[in-house]
Formats: sequence, structure tokens, C-alpha cells
Amino acid sequence: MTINTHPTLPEFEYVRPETLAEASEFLTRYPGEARPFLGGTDIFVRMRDGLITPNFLVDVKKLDGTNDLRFEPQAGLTLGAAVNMNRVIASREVQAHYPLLAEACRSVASYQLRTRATVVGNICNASPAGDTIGACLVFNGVLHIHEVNGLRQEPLAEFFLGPGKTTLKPGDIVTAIHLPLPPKGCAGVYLKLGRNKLSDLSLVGVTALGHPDPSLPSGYRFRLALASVAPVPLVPTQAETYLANQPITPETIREAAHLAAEACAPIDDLRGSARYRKEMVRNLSAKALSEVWEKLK
Amino acid sequence: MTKKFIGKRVKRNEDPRLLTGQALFVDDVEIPGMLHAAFLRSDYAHARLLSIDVSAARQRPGVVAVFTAEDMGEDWQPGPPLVSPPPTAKDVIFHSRRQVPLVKDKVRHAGEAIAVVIAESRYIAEDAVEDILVELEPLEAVSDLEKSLQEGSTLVHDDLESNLAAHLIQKKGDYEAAREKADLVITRRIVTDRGAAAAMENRGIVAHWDEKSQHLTVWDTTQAPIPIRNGLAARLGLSANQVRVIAPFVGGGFGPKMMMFYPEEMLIPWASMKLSRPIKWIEDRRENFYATTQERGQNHDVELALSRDGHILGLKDVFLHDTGAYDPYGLTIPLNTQCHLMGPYDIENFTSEVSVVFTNKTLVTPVRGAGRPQGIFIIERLLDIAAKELGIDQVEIRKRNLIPPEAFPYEHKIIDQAFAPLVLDSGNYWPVMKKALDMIGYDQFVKEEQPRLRAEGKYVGIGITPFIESTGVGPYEGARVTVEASGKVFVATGVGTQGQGHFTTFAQIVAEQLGVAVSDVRIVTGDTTEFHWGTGTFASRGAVVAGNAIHASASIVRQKVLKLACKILETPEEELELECGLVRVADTPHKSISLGELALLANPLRGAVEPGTEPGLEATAYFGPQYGATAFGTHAMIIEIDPETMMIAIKRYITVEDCGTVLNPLILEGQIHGGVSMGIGNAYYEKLHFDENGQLLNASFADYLIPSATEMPRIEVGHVETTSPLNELGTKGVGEAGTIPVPALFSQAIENALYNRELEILETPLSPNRLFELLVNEEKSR
Repeated sequence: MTINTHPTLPEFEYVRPETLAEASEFLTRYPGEARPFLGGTDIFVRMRDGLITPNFLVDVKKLDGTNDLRFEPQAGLTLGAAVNMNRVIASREVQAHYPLLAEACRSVASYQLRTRATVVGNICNASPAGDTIGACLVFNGVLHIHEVNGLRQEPLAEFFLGPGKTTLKPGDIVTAIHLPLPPKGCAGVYLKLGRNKLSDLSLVGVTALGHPDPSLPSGYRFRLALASVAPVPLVPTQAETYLANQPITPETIREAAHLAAEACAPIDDLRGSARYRKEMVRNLSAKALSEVWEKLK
Repeated sequence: MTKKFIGKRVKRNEDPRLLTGQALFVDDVEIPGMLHAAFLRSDYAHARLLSIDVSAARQRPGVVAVFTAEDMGEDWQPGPPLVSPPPTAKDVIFHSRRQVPLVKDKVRHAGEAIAVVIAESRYIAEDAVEDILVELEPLEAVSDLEKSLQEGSTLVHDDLESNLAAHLIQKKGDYEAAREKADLVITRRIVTDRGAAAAMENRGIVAHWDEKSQHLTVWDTTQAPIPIRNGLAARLGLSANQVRVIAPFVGGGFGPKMMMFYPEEMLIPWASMKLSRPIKWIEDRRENFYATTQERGQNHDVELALSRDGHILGLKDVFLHDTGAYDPYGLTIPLNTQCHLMGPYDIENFTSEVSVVFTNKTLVTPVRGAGRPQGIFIIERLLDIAAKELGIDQVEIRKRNLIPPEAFPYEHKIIDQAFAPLVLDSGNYWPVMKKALDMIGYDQFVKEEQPRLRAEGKYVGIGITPFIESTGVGPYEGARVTVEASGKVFVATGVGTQGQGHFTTFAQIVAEQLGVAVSDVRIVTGDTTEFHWGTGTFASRGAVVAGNAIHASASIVRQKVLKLACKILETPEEELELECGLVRVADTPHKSISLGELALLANPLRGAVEPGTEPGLEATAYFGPQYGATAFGTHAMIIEIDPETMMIAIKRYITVEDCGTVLNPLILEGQIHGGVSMGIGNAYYEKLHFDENGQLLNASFADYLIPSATEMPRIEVGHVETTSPLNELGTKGVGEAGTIPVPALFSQAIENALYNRELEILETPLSPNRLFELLVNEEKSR
């Protein structure tokens, strides 16, 4: 009936369980009413704008392991759900082994917001524009999810169902994202296009990762993930397959970028037209793949 | 005479207070027992109000009152007209429809206020807003300018025959005859769209009616405290002396805060009197997007007639101007557009016809530039097109048409925003443009650097845009200057201040006359108790109009100082000098008396004074210019465009200003920097998107993008001084200068960068996405 011209947070209960079991139990008891709560950089905005109206925010930041950032030389990186992006950026292990993830985190909003924003939150928010999701996808990230009956692991690639929609069920809490060891000799880049240099949501985001792979005809595997151009963070597999089978040349990179652009289905909105976004996927994919290829050569 | 204080790079007197958080802003005002207001606003842009039920809101604990239009009874009145229609122009149509305090019958724009809740806290007030039940019958909305005038269009104001708010034709010479003689006639449709002023501080009001003293104090983020005081007194049935309006430090004015009697501005003081309680209302950002005025929507159908050698023979422009749901600000903006359509050029034949239209959108009143950027955009775009078609250099075609220095004062034979004949008081345009060309190294860039960079595959472009700015309009401002017993000087003036550096530039003017340190001059602005008369801070007039009033007052005080000192020091006035807070004998510096001692002697406790003598070293004087002084400037820019993303990088940005006497280069440059940043927003980032239902689609800073530090280039500022003959200081205004030419400059530089495309930019604002779309269309049309 009327514009919410005084956007403020509606009333809600803040709940801080002591254990994961307690948290899952609470979330299960109030399906649709209770939500897990991390940094709040998305959830508060959406609550303020009346898009969601949870009665309970269940803070999971103090629960077992959610604050851990752990790198194991044999297994890879486990990033607890509550680890904020500035911690990721500052981590020596991340810088050494997953610089692409640090680069993606650095592109998010501002320093101040990154002290609240988390990678797992970015994932669970399931916005197609999420800047850090691409890096987690190309490193074959696996989510650790606590559910009422215990723990399960779920590949990130199968997690997204639509904008804001994931495979999470009531009672599920993502406690961490695990990134396996990076492929040997890999190089990556994240190119983000916003309307300004700082702080805008991505109009288009392109994550590219490449590494030598003697088992493939081209000798290299390239991974791509696209932000803001489909209902979910998109992996254009046609482009990846193409580069697995063709010799890597400027021409095949251009063709792969074309395949990436063809794979996406962007929307028209105030930030940019679908036509512009599609063209930007083509241009930025070519640029990203070329930059990665330069590092690999 | 060489100046000791004027023209010096003096650091700002006000900065220590501002930087340490000691400056008072409206939201800092806290009064015991203060209540808080929140407004219920319409979701629809156009709707009939069927019913409203506030009973639940009134019952919420902590709610003190809820008011609707009905509850206001006789006090419900549309706001006063700010500017009347021009009396000097013939055949003017003007339908005055002013904003209402609360919707009574019909909602005319999204965000229009329907009810106000007053409660013990803002939280309670906002919760209570949600308790109100309101029944609105949505009506078809008028959003598009063209459609608003079509037969059968829904009416914004039902009592009018159409959505035409005003119509005015201005002519000089004979355009049709000039067109007959022309070798080239360029005909185009050029569109400019809306943006927000987006001041850092939103609007805010605290009103405190004190029943016992029968006195109303209002803190208001207005640019015009004195007119607000006068209007409140008149509407509330009070004497002007019962009302004190204080415009404290304000975080940016930019024009919308000159709009007088926003609904909230009348309602909050009114409610304070009803309830005998202080009330605070602070606008939030989303309200600001819906309820604070905006600008720049115009559609132009324009023709430029030229001779083969690039001389402009005539200009004809028929345009629509969007005024939004009401038109309290009269014809100021379209008149400014008309006065800038001819830019700095000597054009003998001119016809301009404007139709102002009502739409179901937020009200339009001046925003920094106020119609001027549109006028400059039109003429500069047309000249760029003409230059291309005639094969004449962009700079050369402009040089050939500039008004020559001997032609000043240059009579334009049309009327300006003050309804006075448009006269450009003074100017010497080519040296300014030349300086900008030299600073950016135009020839070297075009001949050497650009070809080299293009060969490397880079898309670099240069733009150079001259412009005029009508400034410093009347009617008047005044000031009172007092030398106090401490030896310090106190100055009161009526204008408000929103970051312009008044506390420093005004102090420099006084210091120049009285020989005191700039830091020893205390300035008060924006407090109606300190100074009774005045209009406000707008139209780049502070330094011109208030500045000269202060200069006049200080000059009188100087005479009083000399007259008294001459007696005491037993020395003729001619041999005295005012230095370091002393009056001293020029060749016998130890023979002196301090200004403080003089001030005491000027106000004796005993004895007799001569007839006709006024006590103290004090004077009040006023200044009203015959007409506004017109400033000139040129901006130049080199940009690089990423051909894949249409993102731009500004490589160089030059401005050369001629605003007459420069009072303080540091402050002038700050104003230019701020203006340019706003201009860059206008040109490439900021656009308000309204849909066909009159809904604003990007009412937040996540969606409405303003340039930030990362988008700002380093700006190199050059100065040229052609003093105005219209005032003693020789000043012209500069507050809007930074903003005015930027969209025109961007278009020129972008076209120049994309040299291998047949791109013609006929709209502003642009964005990377919009530029991409224009290029796709250009490709298709090939």
C-alpha cells in the first residue's frame, strides 16, 4: 500500500546457540521463520527492504569450527563460515596457494564491509552476482553442512538452484567451505566489471583458472565461472571443454569466450542491458583467459 | 591598489570546527522533551485518496499525535509561490500549482506525504506509520514528457485543461530569415534527463514552540533562512520577531534546499505549535530520493543555422521542460536554459519556445546548474556536429563565434531568470579558452600524441568546452559589520551556508578594509536573529551579492574608524593606515590606537556626542546588483575509453575560470572540484530511472551511482580575471561553474575518442552501458 520510506529493520529475535546441534534443532523447529546469521551484510539489507521477514536470526559465528581458517598441505583449505573476507585476504596461506580467492575477496564492496562479509555468506546468499563464488567453483569447492542428523558434504557446483535458492533445507548450517589443493602450476584471475571502480555490485564477473594437464589434448585445463549473467553463478562447460580439446591460441581463446557468452542468459536491468552483459562476458572472458594463458606459458 | 587579504590562499576559518566534529548540524540539536516525526508516503505516483484511518496509529503507546490533511482544517494551504511568472514577457501562460502539506484528495507523485506521526521516538513514529490504513485508488500516471501533452492524457491537476504548466516564447532578430540565408541547417532532437542533487546531508528540521515565551525556534537545513522565517510567521499567524530560523552548518545545498516550504518544513513547526513540544524530523536517504526536488529533464527540438565558414546565423529551439507534480519555482530553470542556449556566442537571431509540463514525478526545482547545463549541452553539441559537417576544427568554429571583448556589455534582448533583460556584463572569452588549450597542450596532443596513441590501438579523445554562467542575481543581501571592544570584528549576514567557505571569504573582505587578521573576523550566517533581511544562498550569488554587501558595510566602518582615529591621534585621515588591528600614523607607526580601544571610545558612557553621531564602530549596508554578473570558463579533458567495456579513464582535466575578482583561490578551486565531480556524475553515472507508472526504480545509492574518489581525476585549475563592472569587488559567481559544461565536454571527448565510429551523442546522462547501446545502434544503421 505504501512505500517503506523509512526503511528500518523489522523486529526479530537474535538467537545464539551454544552448539551446532542446538542451532540445527532451533532452525528445524522454526522452518521459514529462522535463518542462520553470519555477517549480516546481505540479510539486513533484505530485511530492511522488506524482502524477507525472519522472526529469528540464529547466529552461527561462535559455533564449532566456524572461525577456523585452516590450510593442510595434504588436503587444502578449509574456510570456516564466520571467517570474514579481510581475514581471507590477509591469510598467508591463501595468498600463497589461492591468490585468486584473495583477489576475488578484495573486489567486494569496501574494507569496512569486508570485516563483516564472509565467503560462506556470499555463497549462501546465492546471488548470481556473488564475487567470491567463482573462485570457490573453479577450485572445486565443497561445502560442509551441518544438518539435524549430522554432517554432509556437498559440491558447490551442485548447490545453486536459482537466485537466492540453494539445496539447503531447514536446519542446515553451512559450517565451512573446503577447497582442495590447487592444481599444480595453476594461475587464475578475477575480472569484475562494475559501473565504477569501487563498491558497485558486479555487472559481470569472470573468474578464470588454468593449469597444465597432460591428460588433455590441449595439455591445459581451463576453468571459468561467470557472475551476474544467469540465475545462478554459471560455469560455461562448453567453453571449458573446447579449450581442453583445442590448442591454446588467441583464436581458440576468442572462440571459448564466445562459447562462454553464448552460455549465459543475462537479464536487462538498470545496471546494464542483457546485450551489454553478454558482450562483456565475451570480452572479459577473452581477457581473463588470455591473462591466465600468459601466466601459464 | 594591491590587496593584502583578497585573492590570497587563506585556509578556511571554519575547518577546525568541521574537522573536529564541533560544528552544529540540524540533527545535532537535542532539546529535552523533544518528539520525533515520521511520514506516511504514497507508493503510487498518481492515485485518489479514498479514505484514511489513523486510529490504530494514535493508540500505539508513545504516539503523541497523527495528523492528516483533514486534521489541519483551515491551516491546510498549498505552499507559497517562490517565483512569479515573468511580468515582462508577452503571451506567457503560467499555471501555478503549489505543493500541499499533506495529500487531501489526490496523490501526484510517489513519495508524496499523506500523514505525519509525532511520537516519543523515531522508532515509535515509524512503527505507527505502518499502523495507518489508507485506501488509494490508483490512477494512470503521467511520466513521459511528450505523452503528458498528448490529447486525452491523464491530468496531473484535474482543474486544468491539459498538463501544460507554462508556455513562453522568446525571440530576438529573425530566425526564419536567417535560416533562409544559411548554408547549413542542423536539426536534431536532444534529450537531457533527471538526476538527484544527492547532498551528503539530507533535509532536516527541528521546531521548538515555547508556549511561555510565545516564541518559535526552527533549525532547518534550508539555503534561505530569512524567507523561511517570513513565510512561517505569515502562515502561523506570528510576528517575524516571534520566529527564529537557524540554518546551521549544512552538508550540501546544491539548490534543492532553496526550494521553500517543503511540506515537512511547514508541518513540523505547525505541529510543534499544536503540541507545544519540540519536534525533530530528519529525512532519510530514501525519502530524499522521493521527496527532495530534482532536475534536468528536457526534450529539445533544435535547429542551428550556419554559414559555410562556420558563423552561427541563428538558433531555434522548441523544448519541453519537466516540472514534476507542481511548479512552485515558476520558470527559473527553463529561463536559465534559454539564457544559456546561445552560450558565449554572438548569435543575432534566436527563437526559443518552451512548454513546461506537469508529470507524476518528484518536483523539479534548481539543482546546481539550474537549467544552464542543458542550454550549454544543446549549443555545444550542435557546434560539434556543425564542425564535423563543415570540416572546421572544433576550437576554430567556437573561436569564430565567441562574443568579442569590445561587445560588452552584451545585450541579448531576451529576459533572464530575474525577468530582467539578459545582459552579459563583461568578458574576454578567447584568452580564457586559449589558456585552457595551452594548459592541456591541445595542438601537441592532437598533432603528435593522439596519432601515436591511436596507432597503439588506444581510444583517446580530447574535448574543450567553453561556457557562460549567469550568476549573482538580485534582489539584494545585507550585512552588519561591528568592531567589538576586543578588537575583533563581528559580521552578520542573512544568507545560509552549506560549505562554500563563507566564514573565510567574507572575513577576507572585511580584513581588507579594517586591517585585522582574517581569523579575527567572526562571521554569522543563517540566523535570523543576527540579521533580519535577505534572500538566500543560490544562483552562485553568495560572493557577489552578500560579499559586496559586506564590503559596503566594512567600508563604512572603515570611514568611521578613520574619522574617530583622526581626532584621537590628531593626524589627518589620509596619513592613517589600518594594520594589524591598529590604526596608526603611516610614517610614525608607534603612534597608534587599537581598534578595540577605538570601539570603546566610539561608545562612551559619559559626556556628550556630536549631533548626527552613531554609537559604536558599526554599519549595516545592502547591495543589490543592477543585474546578474556573467562568468565564463572553459573545461578541457583527455579521456581514454576501453573499447571493450566502454569504461572511461580521465587522463587530464583542466578548468580555466573567469569569475572576476578571485577572493580566495583555495576556496574557488574547492568549489570547482566539487562542481566537476557533480558534473561527472551528471555526464556518466547519475540518472534517475522512472518507469511509465512514475515509479523511481533506483532510489538508493546501491542503484543510483554517484562518482567517488576513484572516479575523480586530478583537476588542474587556471584563473583569468575580468572584473565585473556591476559591483565594487568586481566578483562574479562560480558555485555552479564546475558542473555546467561537463556533459557537453564528455560527449565531445567521447566522440573524439571513438574516431572511427559515426557516433553522435544527443543525450545526457550517459553510462558505459548506454554508450555501448548507442554504438550498437550506430553499427546497425550503417
